[in-house]
Amino acid sequence: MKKKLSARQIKKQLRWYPFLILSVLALVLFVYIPMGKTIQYSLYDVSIVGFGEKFVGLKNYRTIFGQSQFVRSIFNTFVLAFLGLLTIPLGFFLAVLINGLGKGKLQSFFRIGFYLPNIITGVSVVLMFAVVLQGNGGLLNIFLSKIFGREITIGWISDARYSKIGATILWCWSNMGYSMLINLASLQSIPGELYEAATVDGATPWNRIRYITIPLMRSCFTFLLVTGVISGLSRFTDLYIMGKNSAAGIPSGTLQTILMYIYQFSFDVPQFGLSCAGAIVLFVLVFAFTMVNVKMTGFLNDEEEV
Amino acid sequence: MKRKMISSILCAALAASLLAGYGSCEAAALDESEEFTLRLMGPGLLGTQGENGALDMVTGLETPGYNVIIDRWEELHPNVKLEIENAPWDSWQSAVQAAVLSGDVDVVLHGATLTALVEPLDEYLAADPEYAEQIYTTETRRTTDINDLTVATTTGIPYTLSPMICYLDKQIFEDYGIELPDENWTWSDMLSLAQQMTGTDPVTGKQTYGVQVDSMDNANNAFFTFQMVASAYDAQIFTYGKTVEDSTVDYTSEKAIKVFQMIKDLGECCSPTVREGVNVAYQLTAENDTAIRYSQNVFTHFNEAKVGEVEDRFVFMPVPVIEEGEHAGDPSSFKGCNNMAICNTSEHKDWAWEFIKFMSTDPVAVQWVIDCGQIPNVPEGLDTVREIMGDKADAISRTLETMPNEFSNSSTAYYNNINFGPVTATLGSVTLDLVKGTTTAEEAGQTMQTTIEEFLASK
Repeated sequence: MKKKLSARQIKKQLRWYPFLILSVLALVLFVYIPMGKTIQYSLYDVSIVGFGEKFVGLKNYRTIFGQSQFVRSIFNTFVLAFLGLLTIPLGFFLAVLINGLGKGKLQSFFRIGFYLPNIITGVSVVLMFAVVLQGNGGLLNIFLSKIFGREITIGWISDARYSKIGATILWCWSNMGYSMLINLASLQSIPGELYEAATVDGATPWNRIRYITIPLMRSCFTFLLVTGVISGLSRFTDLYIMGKNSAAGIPSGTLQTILMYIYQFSFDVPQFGLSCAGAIVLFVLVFAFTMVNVKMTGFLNDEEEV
Repeated sequence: MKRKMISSILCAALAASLLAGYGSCEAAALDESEEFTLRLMGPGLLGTQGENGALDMVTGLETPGYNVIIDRWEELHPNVKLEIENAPWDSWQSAVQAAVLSGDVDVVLHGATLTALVEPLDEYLAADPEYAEQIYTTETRRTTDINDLTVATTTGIPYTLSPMICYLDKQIFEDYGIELPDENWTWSDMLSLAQQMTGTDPVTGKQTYGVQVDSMDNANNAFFTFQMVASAYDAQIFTYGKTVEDSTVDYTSEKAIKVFQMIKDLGECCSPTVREGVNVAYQLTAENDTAIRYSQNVFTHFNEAKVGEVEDRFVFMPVPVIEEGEHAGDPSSFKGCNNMAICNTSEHKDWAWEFIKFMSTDPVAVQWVIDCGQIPNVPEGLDTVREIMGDKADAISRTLETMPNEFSNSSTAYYNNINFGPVTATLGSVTLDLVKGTTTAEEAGQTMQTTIEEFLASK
């Protein structure tokens, strides 16, 4: 049975409502109304907002799904997002190595060192990697040429056959530090007694990782998986700059993501109806994928248990 | 006699009334007593220069700010204040749209392309034939926002021009024992020369490259070469009907494929950095390794060469000529510009027109354009440029004097970035692929065709 609030209690609680109203208003104004407008415009033919929108129903959706460019951008988005998940095992591997150093200055040094790329501006990273990954005299090719003993001139970001690999190298370098840090924090929260007991029982280092570390870090992996997929699905800046300031996904459209398609039809070729339809499709995909992830991994259940 | 007299009186009255009408119209349009602020919004030179000017990091030249323009304008028209708001090039169109919707814009800088937001200027030009004669060129667009697509409508007036000019390295030509071409050279001549000079320089022993295809590090400008070669071969891609649906697009014709093939062949004579579009160098320096370059920003290139004391090493020449069609023999140049347009929601359209005329022809404004390292839109301005550049300015004057007006815009039979979807981006992408050698001319044509057809399906 609900307890009735006294007038004094209600008055006391009311003082917090202005704070709540402000954030709710901001949420409505800056999130829900734009979202609603996006849904609305996806059903209209809009070249210039405010200058004669025409209702076209679901035609924009039919159009974008009829465009090989859009279908390819969905494919590119998912391939790049999944390749980008390599940051999780790489971050885990690094975390294990760094954790093995024991607590001290050396660990701090590597922790900061590997996290540094995360705080460098994306644009700088891309410009730097343009030099590292270029076909002619690029650092990666020089390195590979030394290893394989023959000249390698792969255009990692200019050749359509390799561009996704190049883009993934860049992504992993930029994001591995974050993954390492989360993995490390999770790794260090595992009680040391478990490892000691396993060692006494004769478990090998690999078995300790396999049967203790990995199962106990499941929620960490799930978190990284969900956030990694979401950020991977919304990749834009690095690919835009790598594509020579074009949203066409250069080379040959192989790096055009859904977000770049949306940008192209918003700013290069203003057809807001098409871009809004693309935005809704992206929203549905991200939402559905996140829900499946959450359901399959029991991410929210774990949170509740905690 | 009486009839003659009455006729004369009536004629005089008619003439007087017409003149009075014209005069009153002028007076009403430009009421010097009305005080208000004329608002300019958009990207371009005014914004780049800023209020107090800029410093060119390569040449070390200081260039003036737009305070010069404001001072001069307010000296001429003290009742009208100027307010200039810059829009960065990234997403400038949406920034201008938002400003126009708020009703705060009179002159749209670089607005010729925003056809739904700007006034058609043909009537203004017709009413001002002296001014029309004064300038080199206007900006025209084909748009259903104003007319049908068979009509090219003037939507903007440039205040700076950036014609595409070739820069030939005399030293490399001499080292290979090859004579410089004359102004009637063709794209095939350029290719042939480029092929001969791609290799090891017989004198210096250094690697040289025949040509630098322009803008390989900027996908948004990579279409320049296609437009020029297409105009040279008269490879008509767009045939305009009244609407987009009535128009036809053909990127797979024999001539279009010939254009793509030329770009691919030129690409084989480019340096690896150009082919890949990474770390592309444009400056004319003593370390130059490329026999033929072409790009806009001719004034900047001249200044670079002068600072490096190598201006005598480079010959400035118009791009190869148009080989077929009504303009055969003229340079197949492309010309960029900074233009101005009248916002169609402006309450001061006549003043906006006055400002456009001022910006393109006033001696102080023209000198400001030159001081900023740009080519003005009036022949008198080019005389001043000639005083600075000497005979190197001949390439500019020939290009500007002979180039058809409609070649300066996006509504030719060779290129259109307004009505047919992502033409610029896709053409940029296939051009980069062609120069890099990762696609064929036929595939490039098919990619363009498919992209546009899929876009037109939404219409």
